[in-house]
This record gives sequence, structure tokens and C-alpha cells, in this order.
Amino acid sequence: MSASLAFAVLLLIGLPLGLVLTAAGMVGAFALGGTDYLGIIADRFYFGVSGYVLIAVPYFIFTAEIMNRSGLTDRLIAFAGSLFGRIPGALSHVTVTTCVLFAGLTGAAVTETAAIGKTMIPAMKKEGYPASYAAAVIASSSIIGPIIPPSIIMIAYAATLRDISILGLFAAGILPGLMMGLAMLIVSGIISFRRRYARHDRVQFAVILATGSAALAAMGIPVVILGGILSGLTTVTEASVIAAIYALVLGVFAYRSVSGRDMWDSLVSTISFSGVVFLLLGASNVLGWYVTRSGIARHAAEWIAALSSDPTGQILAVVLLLLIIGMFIDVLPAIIIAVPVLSPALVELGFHPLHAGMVMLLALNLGNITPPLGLTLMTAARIAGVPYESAAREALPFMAAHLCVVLIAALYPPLTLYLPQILGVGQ
Amino acid sequence: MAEPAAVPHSTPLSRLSDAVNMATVAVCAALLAVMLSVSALGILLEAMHSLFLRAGWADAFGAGWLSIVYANTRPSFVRLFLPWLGMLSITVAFKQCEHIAIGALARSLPGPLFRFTRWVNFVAIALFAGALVWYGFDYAVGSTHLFIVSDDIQLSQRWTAAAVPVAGLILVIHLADGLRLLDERIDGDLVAGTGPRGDVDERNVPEAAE
Repeated sequence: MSASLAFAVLLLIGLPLGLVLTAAGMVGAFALGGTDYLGIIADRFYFGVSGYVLIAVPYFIFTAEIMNRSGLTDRLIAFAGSLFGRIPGALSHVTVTTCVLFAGLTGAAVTETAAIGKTMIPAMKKEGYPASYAAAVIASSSIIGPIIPPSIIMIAYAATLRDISILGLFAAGILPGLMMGLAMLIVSGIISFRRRYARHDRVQFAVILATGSAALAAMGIPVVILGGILSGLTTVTEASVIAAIYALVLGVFAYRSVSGRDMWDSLVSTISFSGVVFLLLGASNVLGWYVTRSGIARHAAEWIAALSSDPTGQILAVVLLLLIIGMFIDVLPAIIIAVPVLSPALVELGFHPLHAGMVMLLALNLGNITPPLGLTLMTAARIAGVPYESAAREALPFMAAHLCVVLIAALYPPLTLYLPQILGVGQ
Repeated sequence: MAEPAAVPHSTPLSRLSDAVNMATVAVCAALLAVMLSVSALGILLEAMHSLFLRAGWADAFGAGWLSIVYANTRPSFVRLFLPWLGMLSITVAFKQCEHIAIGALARSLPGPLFRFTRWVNFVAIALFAGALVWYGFDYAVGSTHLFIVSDDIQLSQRWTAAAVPVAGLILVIHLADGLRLLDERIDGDLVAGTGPRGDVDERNVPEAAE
């Protein structure tokens, strides 16, 4: 009770979330064992930031930073642009496709929005798309990034729980991620047809070939990462190292577009962004310690079971709760707050850990674009120079499409479990 | 993510904080570069090792310099750097105002109440920094675990656990920035900026975050 009160008050007065979680954990620890337990802050923070798999976090961020600075985005956009030709709203579909291609390179939606939005939003505005629609398409497509591996939120999820396979999560994310891309294309197609958005020149095979070969080296990164991990040739950490080196070689030697200054800036950005992630991971360990000892997870399981005895009702209740949490808290901290409580509860109720995990990640990931606190949509609105509310209004059909994917994933476990079973990972 | 904020500082303490942050960034960059290089070398040697084993040249890794380099580029070596990178990067994120916070409600409060909440937050950060120093020091001194990377590299956990109180100490120094430490960065801009005397700088509040 005291921990919940501290959590609510500090959250509402705008304390950084990492410190809110730490404070709630410390208050809870004090309630359990007095001042003797306060020392857990050092121990838990240390273990929170030193897990072996976390080495991959700065490496993946660094890879994305280098790729952003190496002109990769323009190559991917050119390739995607060659695919749609005379279909109404070609540039809208190009944006979605570029985001799906980019999803295999970066694990964070905001990074993807900034990278692609700065090029695509001005281009879309030039072709007559409303700026708020452009912002909505970019933001709604960028949230595919954390679902198609590599994914920082999946690493954070696995680091928070410690008894779930990252490989399994990566494999489980591929089909729902592609389905999100397809859903985006369908909605973008319907809107573009009804609003008669601009078409491009007819598709030419030679152009597809030329732009495709120019982007081929860049598209090799997802192959390196996913192929290495899912084939068992590399661990997640090794794949992250190979991806970073590959990106460096590509940027410095092949494209010759990454200067020494770019590398330094990439390192500084990586450190800063890693700090945000590590603070949340350290803090989640403090709160997780309290959650484990206080029996909150067991109470949550009992609460969900009391809501409904039917598994469908139980998982839908969790999805609804996570959608609400995602509206107010950013994805990463939301995972760190909700996962230690809800994931063990769902597993205790008989759900497969990977299914439960992916449904939770999909639901929370939607929070990236849902008001009032959709950081990714906020970033896209800033780039487009439109009020957040108008971008949110345009994003509604895309939110509905993503929600359908979340519900399908929740109600149809094979969507998330098929690939892990085929590949024999995370079972 | 954005570059460090170009905020004019004048007091010796805030200049010290800036200098410490620059040094921390440099150390973190060096750690990251070393981790990446060692990891890449380790993967290369691992691949060579399995190739040599298949070719029947296992002796190449049995002794000599190759064996020493191979033994000392294992993931367990890179892991020794991670607590330092993790804890120090937290201080960099703080200094560069890379916070994730729900500030909308606090920003909607009347001026004096808003300033009060910011002071409460500032005290919470100070307590957090102090707790990292106080409990972190005890934790580091009391660590008895030994990391064994190879015959050559064996390190007491005290050296890695020391990252906790050191990060706390750096955060204490950054408290010299005052309420500016609580500003929130959204897409490169600072939100809810307050001046050194606690004056709200409305120019820093972007439209989309209102």
C-alpha cells in the first residue's frame, strides 16, 4: 500500500520514471524489513545493469545510430518507392514498407520515427498529403520496429523476467510484426483510395533492380542479425556485435558517408540512450525485488482469475489493462512496471510464456501512439509541425488496425508460437 | 537522442559538473569502443578456433599468444565493463536531461505548486544519488566474489561494484545544475525548463508537448 502510494504521488508530480520505480521499491522494502532492507538499492541496481545479455543493448543502439548517419534510410526509401507505382497513395505505402524494412535494423520506435520521418514527412507534404496524416503514418508504422527483431523492449522484457528466452521472443515477434505491416498497408490503401492521394509513375523492373541492389547491403543487416540468431550460429550478443561492425564497415568503407565526427556523435547518443534504458532496468530490479517478496504477482493472478474463469476473458482483461497503462506510460517503463506482476500471473493461469509475453509487448507497444502520452506520435507530430491532437485523430484508423493484430495474437496463440516451435527456440 | 544541452553555466560547481560529465562521456565512449573491439576479436577467434578444430590444427590454440588472446577475449571479459558502462551512462542521461517522466499534470499546476513539485523531485534525485553513494560504498567494500576470465585476468567484484557509488557521486556533483536537471528532452528540445532561480522558461515548452 505504502509503495503504491509513493509510486502514484511521485509519478504524478513528474519525477523521472526510473526514480519513481526505485522509490516505490525502496518504500516497499522499508515496509517489509525497515532500514535493514534499504541496502538492496546498490545490490539490485548492480545486477540490473550487469546481465550478460544487456551487452546487446548499446550495440543495437549504436548500429541504428550508424545506419541513420550513413544514408541507409534514403536507399531503403528509394527501393520501397520503386515498388508501388500507380497505386493511389504510393508514398504512404512507401513509408509503411520502409518502416517494415527498417524494423529489422533498429529496436526502438522513436529512433525509427526520427530516422524515416525527417525524410518522408517533407516528401509526403510536397505530394499533397496532410501533414497530420503523414505524421500518423510514420508513427503508426514505426511501432512495428520494436515487434520485428531486434528489439530493445524484448531484451528489457527478458532481462526483467530472466526466465524467458530472448530467441523465443524474437522468433515470436516476426509474424505479428509482418501482420502489423500488412494491416497498415490495407488501411493506408483504403484511406488513399478514398482521398485520391497521389500516384507515381508505372513500376519499372529496371528501377526496382537498381534501387534494390543499392539497398541490398543495408538489407543484409536483418539477415545477419536474424539469420545468425535463429539458426543458432550466434547468440543475441554476438549478433549485435556483428551488426554493429557490419554497419560501421558499410558506413565508413562502402558508403563512405560516416565521418569521424559522425562516429563520435553516434557513441555519445548511444551512451545517452543506453543510460535511459539502464536506469529503468536497474530501477525495475529494485521494484522487482519488492514485488517478488510481497506476493503481488500471486494476488494479480488471483485478481485476473476472479475476473473470469475463461482464458479468453482473462487475456482480454490483461490486454485492456495494458492498453490503459500504455496510454499513460511510455513502453519501456510500462514493461518494467507491468511485466514482473502480470507475466508470472498469466503463466500461472496456464498461458504459454512466449504467448503471454508477445501479447503483453504488442499491447504495450500500442501505447507508443495512443494519447495522451504517445511518445512516438508526439515525435512524428513535432517533425511534421502539426498539433499532437490532429496527428492522433489521423492515427485512429491505424490504431484500430494494430488493435486488431493485438486481439488476433491474444486469441490465436499459433500466431506467436508457430515460428518458435518450427525453429525450436524458447520452448 | 540529442547532444548535450547548450545551457550557459556560471558557477564553479556547475562548471565542475560539466567537466565531470565530459570526462564521463569520454570514459563511456572508450568503454564502448573497447567492448566492441574485444567482442569482435572474440567472435573472430571463436570462428578461427572452430575452423582450426575441424582442420585438425587444435594445437594452434593450445598454447602461445593465440591461446592467450583467445582466453582473454571471451564474453566474460566484456561483462566486466558492463556495470561501469551501465552506471556511468545513467549519469550522462541525467545530465543531458534524457528523462522519461509524466510531466503534463505537474506542468498544469499553478506556478508556486509547480515549483514545489520540482523541488520535491530535486530532493528525490538527491536522495537517490546519496543512497547510491552510501549503500553502494558498503556494497562494493563488502563484495567478495571473484571474476575469473582466464589464468591471467581475475578480478574482485569490488572493482565492478565500485561503479555504483562512483555513479552516485557523479550524480551528487550534477545536483549543482539545480532544477535544470529535471528538464525533460523531447526530440532535442527541453521541456518545462526552469532557470537557476526556479523561474519557468516558457520558451522551452514545445507545442506538441502541451
